[in-house]
Amino acid sequence: MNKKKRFFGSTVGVGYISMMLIFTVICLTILAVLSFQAVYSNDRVSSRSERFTQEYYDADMAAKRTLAQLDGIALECAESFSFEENFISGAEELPGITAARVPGGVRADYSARINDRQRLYVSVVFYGDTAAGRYEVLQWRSVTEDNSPDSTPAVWDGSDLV
Amino acid sequence: MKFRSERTLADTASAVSSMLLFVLFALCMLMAVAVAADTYGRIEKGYQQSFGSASSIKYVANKLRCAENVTLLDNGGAAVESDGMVSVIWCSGGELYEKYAPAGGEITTQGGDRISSADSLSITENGGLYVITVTAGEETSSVMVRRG
Amino acid sequence: MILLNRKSNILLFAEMTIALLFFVISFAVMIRVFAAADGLERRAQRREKAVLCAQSIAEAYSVSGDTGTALRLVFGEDIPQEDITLNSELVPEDNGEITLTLSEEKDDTAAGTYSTLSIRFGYSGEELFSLDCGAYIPRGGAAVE
Repeated sequence: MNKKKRFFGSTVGVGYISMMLIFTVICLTILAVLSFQAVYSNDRVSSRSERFTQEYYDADMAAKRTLAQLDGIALECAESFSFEENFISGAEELPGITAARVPGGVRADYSARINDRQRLYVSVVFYGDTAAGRYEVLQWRSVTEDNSPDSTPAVWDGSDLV
Repeated sequence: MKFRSERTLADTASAVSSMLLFVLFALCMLMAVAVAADTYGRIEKGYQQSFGSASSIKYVANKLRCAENVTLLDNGGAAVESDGMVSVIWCSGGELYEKYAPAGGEITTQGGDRISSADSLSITENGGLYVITVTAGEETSSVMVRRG
Repeated sequence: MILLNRKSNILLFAEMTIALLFFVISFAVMIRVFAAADGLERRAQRREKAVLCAQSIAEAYSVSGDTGTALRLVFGEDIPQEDITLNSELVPEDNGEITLTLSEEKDDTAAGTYSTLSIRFGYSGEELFSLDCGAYIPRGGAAVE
């Protein structure tokens, strides 16, 4: 009888609900924080990728503008007596351009900065004889620069410490 | 005796109702946790798939941009030559792989380093552009890169 | 015994009422956090797609120097260059939720045409992603490009 009374008297003890609630709220908080953290880190990676895309196309535009200028110089020099000499002197007036003679024309090399680690490297050959077109793009590619400082760890060389 | 019986009945009803209320409350809590876990799972899955396909496609696109010479492979991958090295990129068994070898040497699509998760990779050529398509789960991404 | 039962039940109901109140408040906060995470995830996915699509348009434009050709190469069909709307998968669709705005500027010289194209993706009046790209097409065409 006592047992029966105890069973019916205090079916659900005070405190169980609070414990269950605390457990649920902790679970929900952990899941919410994890969700937000996953999405937030994805958003940050996306932003970095967007920035890189913009930087790449800014460099690409700058390289194309330089190509347009070089092509203008090539057009002016096409009618002149010595295409190669005139083109080299004209091209080297533009900043960052190196020009060198190659069979049939002049090769112009230049690069445009993408970011601190990468550059867009362009190599174009301009022809004196424009029958098959004024220029040919040999390379238009991004290159990674190794700007990192000497990564050799500072190791004690065995000399006296003082 | 009757009074005692009614008292017991009232006790029982009260106990059962409070027990039912407690069970209802517990179910509500469980449901809330289940819904939250499901939402988290969905967000995490979407993030993994979107991240997998986006990172794979960006990696391959950047490889092609850095290339001096590109050879498209029958398995949808590509052999990218740059700075005296050839890197072969291909997709197999739900993973994107890459393998380096010196230019001119023999290279096979065996082994290699895992880059990211991707179910399929296809690199094709269309009008002077490479079309890179990567599938990861239900996510399919496609991007064009001009030939260098 | 009855007194004890009643007291116990009253305590239980009081606890449950307070717990429910607390749960409702905390659940409302959690729902907001989940909704924000879900919204951010959807936005990140839309942006990711917009970046890839903008990149494809930029690449196609740099090869062709023409907006119409670039759009045909990317979307596989001729679409009008004004008031372009796309669905969530970035496929052209009438009254799509994503808008694509293109504005082109051309600079003609005796040697060729240098042009720039501004690509802007918008969603619900807010800018998703924008990219400026350029193209140079010489008169007579380049031998290889």
